[in-house]
Amino acid sequence: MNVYFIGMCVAMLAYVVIGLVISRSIKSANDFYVAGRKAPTFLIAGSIIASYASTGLFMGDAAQCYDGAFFTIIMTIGLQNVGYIIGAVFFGRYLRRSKVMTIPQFFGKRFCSRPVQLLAAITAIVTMTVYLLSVLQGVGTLMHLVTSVDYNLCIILVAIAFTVLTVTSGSRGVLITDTLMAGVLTVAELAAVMVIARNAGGWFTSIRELAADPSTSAMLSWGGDVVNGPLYDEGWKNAIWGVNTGIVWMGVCMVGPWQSSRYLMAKDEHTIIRSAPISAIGVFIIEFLIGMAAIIIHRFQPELVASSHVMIWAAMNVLPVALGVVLLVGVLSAGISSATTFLSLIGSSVSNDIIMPRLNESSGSSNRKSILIGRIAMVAASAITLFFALLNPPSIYWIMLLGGAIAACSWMPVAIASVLSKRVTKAGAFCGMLCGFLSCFVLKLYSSITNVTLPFYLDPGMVGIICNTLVLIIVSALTQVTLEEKEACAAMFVTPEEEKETAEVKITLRWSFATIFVGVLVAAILIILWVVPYFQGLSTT
Amino acid sequence: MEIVASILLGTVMSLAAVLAYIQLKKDLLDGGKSEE
Repeated sequence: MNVYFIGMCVAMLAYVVIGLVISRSIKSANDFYVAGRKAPTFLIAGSIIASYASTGLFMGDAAQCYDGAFFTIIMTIGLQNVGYIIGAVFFGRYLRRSKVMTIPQFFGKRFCSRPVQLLAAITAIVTMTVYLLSVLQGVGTLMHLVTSVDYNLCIILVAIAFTVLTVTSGSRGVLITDTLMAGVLTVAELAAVMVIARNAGGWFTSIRELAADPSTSAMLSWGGDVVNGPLYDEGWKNAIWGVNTGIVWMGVCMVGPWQSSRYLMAKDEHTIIRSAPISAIGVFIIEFLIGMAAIIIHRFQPELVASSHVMIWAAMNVLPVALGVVLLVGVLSAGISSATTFLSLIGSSVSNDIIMPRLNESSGSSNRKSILIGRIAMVAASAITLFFALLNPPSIYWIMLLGGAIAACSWMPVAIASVLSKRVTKAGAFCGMLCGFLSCFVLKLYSSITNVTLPFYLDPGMVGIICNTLVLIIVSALTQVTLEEKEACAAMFVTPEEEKETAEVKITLRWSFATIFVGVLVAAILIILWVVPYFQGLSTT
Repeated sequence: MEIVASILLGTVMSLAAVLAYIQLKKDLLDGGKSEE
């Protein structure tokens, strides 16, 4: 047992205690599943950022950057953040308006179809479980490496912590602890990156010298390290892979269950619009800093064998002990915050999409039963995930990518069409969703089983999105929109009276206008903090 | 290429925000009905 282990255990205990305190305010299914629909902007943005930032980011993305795929990650992140901006306006506020408990319920209501709701629920549960596995495994690996405590004991401790927190306090607890965790990981990361850069000789000096060094220069270039890098052997292939992945993850940020479900908890539609720029810039900055820090670590240790441990190595070897503890607690918080979100969504979908619609209960007993079923489902999902995590499957990063890709290719085209098109039918939505899900899953399974590296243009997520879109269009063209579907679609476009308050509308429009400058800020950050020092370094060679 | 990519990424984000702003303005200022 060391100071890192104590820090992590204290953090987990604190989150559990906070969850238990919050659980006393849970009175109804509405409180348990959608936090009473009262969440303000900072809680929505905080939860989105915390749910996004998982061990996949601190271990997977950091490893990709350390190995030489920085530009590819930046392309992916830049494009994916567009998803927050357009997702809030073109999907999120309609989701909130529909007053449903889950996103599958939204699809079911929009298309007046129970099969569509069920299929969406199944894809959500599969995605969440796969993602939960990657997070649990990542956090377990982190704790084991840092503390030398047995890996199995570590994941059992983590699983108990996030299960107790989620089962007792539901979405309300998840929302509040998510925001706390987002704060912890942001502060920890900012402080850690500043110290790493300072100890390496300064941010700009480090980048200039890495750019000037022939052995590390390619890592900062647009093509990435094509000789020893993790992806393809030509720069343009890496760039296209980054664009493909960025489009897939744009879908995740737009409609992914662990991202857009936060909008169901917003106190109004204005809150959703205002949270979008905060989420977009927050996620971008966290990713950019982690990616660049991973490259700068080459100044201390250029030959890490397990590159996914790069930030852990930095915390234990570059940072002062106190800051190292804070950074590792931040990474742990990132993992737990994502895990609680996934687990709460699994419980919500099992209860509200699969079991409760089959029961015909009075409102009072329905509330109690719904919460009980959700809690049982959460415990079961946690136990199943724990079982698989004990087997310790390899490649956290690729498991995480699979989870995200399934969400995007099952839901993105249908979600966009559900708002933008009046011609899409329930049959089209069902078939599109099914084909998107199956094509992505089968292709990824094939490449995993046969150990075949897919060509750069054949990203399973992109294939799934294209299949989903084509099938959606064809089947919708061959079938008719029913009267009840037309009515459901029309009802979705009626803005509720409470959203029309003039002062709030003005403020929201100002936020939306200010969002235009997020793009300018992103370009400025990239040019000032990466491109300029990189070119200065190149010019000295 | 690095500088072009940085500017392109920023531009894509800003264009998406412009699109969102136009749609929102239309929805919020036209009395509640959109797409009609």
